[in-house]
Amino acid sequence: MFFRLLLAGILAASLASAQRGGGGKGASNTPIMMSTQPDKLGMITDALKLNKDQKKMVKTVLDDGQKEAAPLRDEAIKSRQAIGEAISAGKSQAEIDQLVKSQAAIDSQMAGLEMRAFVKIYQGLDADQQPRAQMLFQMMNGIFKNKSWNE
Amino acid sequence: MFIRLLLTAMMATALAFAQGGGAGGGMGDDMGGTGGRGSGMGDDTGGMPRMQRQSPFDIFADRLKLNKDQKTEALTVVGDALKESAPLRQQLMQAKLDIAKAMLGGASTDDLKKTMDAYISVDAQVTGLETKAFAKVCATLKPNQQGKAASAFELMAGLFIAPAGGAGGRSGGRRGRN
Repeated sequence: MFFRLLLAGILAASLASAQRGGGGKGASNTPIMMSTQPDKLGMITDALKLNKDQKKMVKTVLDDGQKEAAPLRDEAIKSRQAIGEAISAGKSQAEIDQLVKSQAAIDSQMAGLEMRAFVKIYQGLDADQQPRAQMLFQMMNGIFKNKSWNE
Repeated sequence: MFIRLLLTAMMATALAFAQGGGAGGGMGDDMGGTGGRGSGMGDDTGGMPRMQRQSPFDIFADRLKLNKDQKTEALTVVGDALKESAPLRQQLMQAKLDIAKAMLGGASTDDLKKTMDAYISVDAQVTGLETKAFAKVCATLKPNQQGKAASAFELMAGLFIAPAGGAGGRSGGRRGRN
């Protein structure tokens, strides 16, 4: 029963995600210029039903992750710029492949940071909250790629 | 239990991605990509200004200053690359899950490194597909469009994966995967 409920939840989330940016906004009569999208901390808090302390913990973990990710983020931007330049300049495939490998290494470090933050948060959840962590797992995807994880 | 939950979530995400990438859907604003256009629920708002969030593909096309024909061609190229990369992106999520599992299980440094290496391997394949798609798009550019082409590669990542939080890729260059 629990598993079925979870599947239904995931399906609903996937449909919303597939609509890309719908988020209910296009389907309501609310003024179009009004932004109704909650911040990520709000989304996480609602989805996991975090208490005050847990919310603080999540914010601290993600703030720390963001700080740690900052240099990687810059590296990733430069790396992708280099790949773009190599392609547009018609460089050899071997050269491009080398740049791609470097990019993948940076990406894996970023993935490591994301997952470390995820694990920290997961471990701070109560047993009844942990089954809902799949939403958090999805949200961690690229969370430190923006200047602020909470935007 | 944890693993089963996350695997299910990943499958659902992959399905959502596949829907977005199938035929370029989710990328162009006439393809249901932004704000539910065509749904009959927002087109007759009595002249109220409608703030459309630009799709990642539109941002990409704007950066390259693509004309209509180039845009159509680029959409096809990116759509094909999306289809081709779908299983790899699913593997990427699995690789990320393996990293989390290793961390949760207190894996040794060596074991953790193995999971990271696996991630690198798949990520390089996905980026490789992005580079090929980008090269195809670049090949359609006229000389006066080539100046800023390199900077548009950053935006390719935004075309390949939904961003964190399902926000619709507002910044274009934010890739969901790493």
